[in-house]
Amino acid sequence: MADAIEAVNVLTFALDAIQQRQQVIANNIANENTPGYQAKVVNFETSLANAVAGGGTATATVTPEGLPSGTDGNNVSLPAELALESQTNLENQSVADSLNAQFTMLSTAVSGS
Amino acid sequence: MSMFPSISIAGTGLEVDQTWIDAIGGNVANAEDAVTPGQPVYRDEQIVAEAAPVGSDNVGDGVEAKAVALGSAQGILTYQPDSPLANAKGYVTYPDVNIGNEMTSLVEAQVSYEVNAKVMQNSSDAYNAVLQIKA
Repeated sequence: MADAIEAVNVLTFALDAIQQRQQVIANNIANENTPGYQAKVVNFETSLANAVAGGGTATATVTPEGLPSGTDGNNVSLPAELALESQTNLENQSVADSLNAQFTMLSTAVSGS
Repeated sequence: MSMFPSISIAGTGLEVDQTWIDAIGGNVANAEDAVTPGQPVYRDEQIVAEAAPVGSDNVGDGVEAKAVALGSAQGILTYQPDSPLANAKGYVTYPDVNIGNEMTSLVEAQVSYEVNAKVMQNSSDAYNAVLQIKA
């Protein structure tokens, strides 16, 4: 039971972080033509892996992507953002599915049927 | 920030793209508007986009059309002595609109619009996946 609840906590954190990443990607794409805009990325995987392995709290951080800028000072790469968006959407789907599976399991354990 | 932020962020992108496309339409439609000497000539309109202010989560809130940069008020003088709109020296004033630039911008704006619409659709699908979670 405790393991299942731990799994739910990890999945919930991942879902939050993935949604934040989707938001950052949407923001990067919306600013694709904004002069001087610098693309951002969300990092959480390493922090989450460390927290799962060694305890402690995982964090999601938003940092500048740091790629070279074009002549207008903008460094959004549309193909890269679109690829990351597809990937993130699939991750979102699989984490949501996993959460569902955990809840079904917990629900079975609680009701015994 | 809305409950489904990715959707509203993509929405700001669509809005700016729409404003941009409207401005291009105006520029192209008025590109050949010659005026009589002394009359104000149509001024090219360029949309100035800016990233929306970033909140405490450091994510950002999309994009905004901040201002409209106007082109030359003098326009461009073209030597057409036969034109009824020519000045004393035979020059006609046309707006300073570069059709080539406008067409390039139009393609960029269209692609940007499509991509933002796609992001909106994908975000909606993603939120839907989360909404399906139930115990």
